[in-house]
Amino acid sequence: MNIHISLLITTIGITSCFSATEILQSTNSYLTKANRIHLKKILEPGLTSNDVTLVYYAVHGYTFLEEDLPNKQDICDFLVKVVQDDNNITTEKAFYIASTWRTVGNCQSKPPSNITKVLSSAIEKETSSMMELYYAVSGLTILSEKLSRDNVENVIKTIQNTLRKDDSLWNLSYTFHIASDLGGTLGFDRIEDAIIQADEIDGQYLQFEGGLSVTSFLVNGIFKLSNTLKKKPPLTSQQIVKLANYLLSRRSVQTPRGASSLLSALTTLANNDFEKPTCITLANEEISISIQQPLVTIQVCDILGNPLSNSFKVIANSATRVGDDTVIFNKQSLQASPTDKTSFVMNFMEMKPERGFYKISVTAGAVTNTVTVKVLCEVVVDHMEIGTADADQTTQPKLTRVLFPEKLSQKIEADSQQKLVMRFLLRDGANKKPMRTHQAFVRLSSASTSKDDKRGHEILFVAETDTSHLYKFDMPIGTAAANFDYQSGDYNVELIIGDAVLSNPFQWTVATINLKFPESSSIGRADKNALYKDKSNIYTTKPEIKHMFRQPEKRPPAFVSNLFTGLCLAPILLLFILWAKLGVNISNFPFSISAVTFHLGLGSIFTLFGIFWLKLNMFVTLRYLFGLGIVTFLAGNKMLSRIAHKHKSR
Amino acid sequence: MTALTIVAKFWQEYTKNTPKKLKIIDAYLLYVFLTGVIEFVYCCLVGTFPFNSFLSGFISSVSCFVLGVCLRLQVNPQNKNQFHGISPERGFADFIFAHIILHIVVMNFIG
Repeated sequence: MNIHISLLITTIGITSCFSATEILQSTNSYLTKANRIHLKKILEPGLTSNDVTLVYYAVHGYTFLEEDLPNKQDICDFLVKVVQDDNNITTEKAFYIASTWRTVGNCQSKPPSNITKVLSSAIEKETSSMMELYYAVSGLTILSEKLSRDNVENVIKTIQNTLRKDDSLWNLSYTFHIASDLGGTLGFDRIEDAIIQADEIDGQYLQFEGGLSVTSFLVNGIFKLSNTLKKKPPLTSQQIVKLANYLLSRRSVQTPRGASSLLSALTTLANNDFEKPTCITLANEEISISIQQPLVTIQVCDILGNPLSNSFKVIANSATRVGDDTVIFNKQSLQASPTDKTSFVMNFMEMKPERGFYKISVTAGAVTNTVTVKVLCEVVVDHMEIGTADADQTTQPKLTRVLFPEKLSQKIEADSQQKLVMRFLLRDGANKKPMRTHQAFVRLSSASTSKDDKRGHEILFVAETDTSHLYKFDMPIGTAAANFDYQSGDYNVELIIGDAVLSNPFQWTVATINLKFPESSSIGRADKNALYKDKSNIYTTKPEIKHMFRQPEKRPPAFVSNLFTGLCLAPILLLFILWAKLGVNISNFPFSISAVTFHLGLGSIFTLFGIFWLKLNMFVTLRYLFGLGIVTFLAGNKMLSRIAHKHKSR
Repeated sequence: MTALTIVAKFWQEYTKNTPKKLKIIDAYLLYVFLTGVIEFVYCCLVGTFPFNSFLSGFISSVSCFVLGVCLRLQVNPQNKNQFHGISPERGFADFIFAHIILHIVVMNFIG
């Protein structure tokens, strides 16, 4: 299945790459019936809504869909009620009411006068924003109220001032709309400025920053202005197609506002007087070509799905096979379908195409587009042999032939010294050539549900082809035993063949085989079970992680420690004994202040070191040491110099 | 002439010719040396744990020995011409100063 999908994606990728480099002349899609129903469903609740905005979107959307409004009178009543109840109608609301009023058609001929008042006051007000001006001008135009010359000049001045300050996309599009209502050439030269700002995506779509609403509003504005002035807008046909592509890509829009703007922009594009985008596409994307269904149906229509007005011929220029670029025909004209004006048909199988994907380049009138079709073929099993052979290949395999849909009558026996062997050949049903498919699997599934283990085993193997497209499948039973969890017993051998271009993929039970595996060693078993257990415990809580302190190293027994402490202290005794023997005495001790201070200082320094070891930190110690050191140094200096002096004088 | 007689002769000469001050220093050196040896034996027999304590003890004794030898060299009257202008008192002051520096390091390292 994955191969299928990846193949499709690759094909689509290749197609889009190609079309990106080509010149886009037509869209690949149009507003189908299903799309219309979807949009109608989104708009429908708006008809009975209490919100003027939603009613406006719904009524407009319905008009573009060419649907009848079921409750015209209710909507009229609702509008009248809104106008009466609401004392503070904004310009925007007034516009929605006026516009809806006009679109519904057969309300009372004259709308309430205060609507006109609201709109006119917005124009006369100096501080109106672009948006308010747009609503006011367009509302008054809809109500066929003429603006005075002063007002028109004021509006134009305001617009020019605003554009100088801020020429955002919205302001530009308001300008286009207002200009077309006022009938001036104002803003036509700014259309190019707006179009330059459009973003291109994948070389296929053209959109304005801000999405569907601004794109739609701009498209409407540009074409409305061009229509009023009867001038071709500065848009290339490419750009129009790309804009249409973008709008069509938003067909699945979910909001009433989006639906309404989408429909209005699509209708504008489809009905403009200058360049109408055409859609050339396959009538049914899902269909694939085979002998049973040999027809390729091409749909040629405008983007709303309506037939084109002018007459034209539809010609298939060429069909190229994806992958090897084989061209199978040139210049074939397509027959118009008698029932549907937008459909054109050709019999593709007449060209005897090989299976695969084909890109057909279709021209309708002046427009060319490329569509991709898939040609299916039927696969036929030429022959199938199944049997066993010795694993060490000393003897020829014993093979039995099986015919396609049938199952081998006798059971195959295989033990761990042997291997299962399958040989088969597939042929294309049309041209009888050997073929290889994307998917060729051999599936072994246990035939009997074993007593101790409820899980029915099934294992899939891939069958490989050799150069002559002959499929070979060998499975040495001894080495495969682990995959079967050493579960001996009956297994069904099935062949699964599938491909994106096959019309008859199949799953065929070829035979039943009795596999005898060796008893697995108990250790291997235990390991396997442990593995399963681990797997089943994957989602349970893991044991808490506790911090491990480093284990202190083993200390020697107390006796040894004490002994050596004693031993280390022993030499000091020896020192005293030796000194005593030498006759050391302190009789010569000079009892001066400096001498006493020096010895006390030295003693206290070493005491300080002791305290440092036990308690203090380096900084405190150094501070004390500094004080003690100075005193000791001065005292020591004095004492020693006096001693030295004494020596000399002696 | 046996080794014993040599040692006896050496001992005689030593007791007779060495000044008393040097003998005091020699006794100190012997004490420091023996302490270092006992620490080393302990390390060989029991193990180095805790290593920094062992190191500071051992280094302390080795350095004390070295400093002692330095003092002995400076104090020895026979070396007077080499250490001209350095009185024994000056040597002793250096010895004390070096010991203070040494032991602050040792205490810091002992842990």
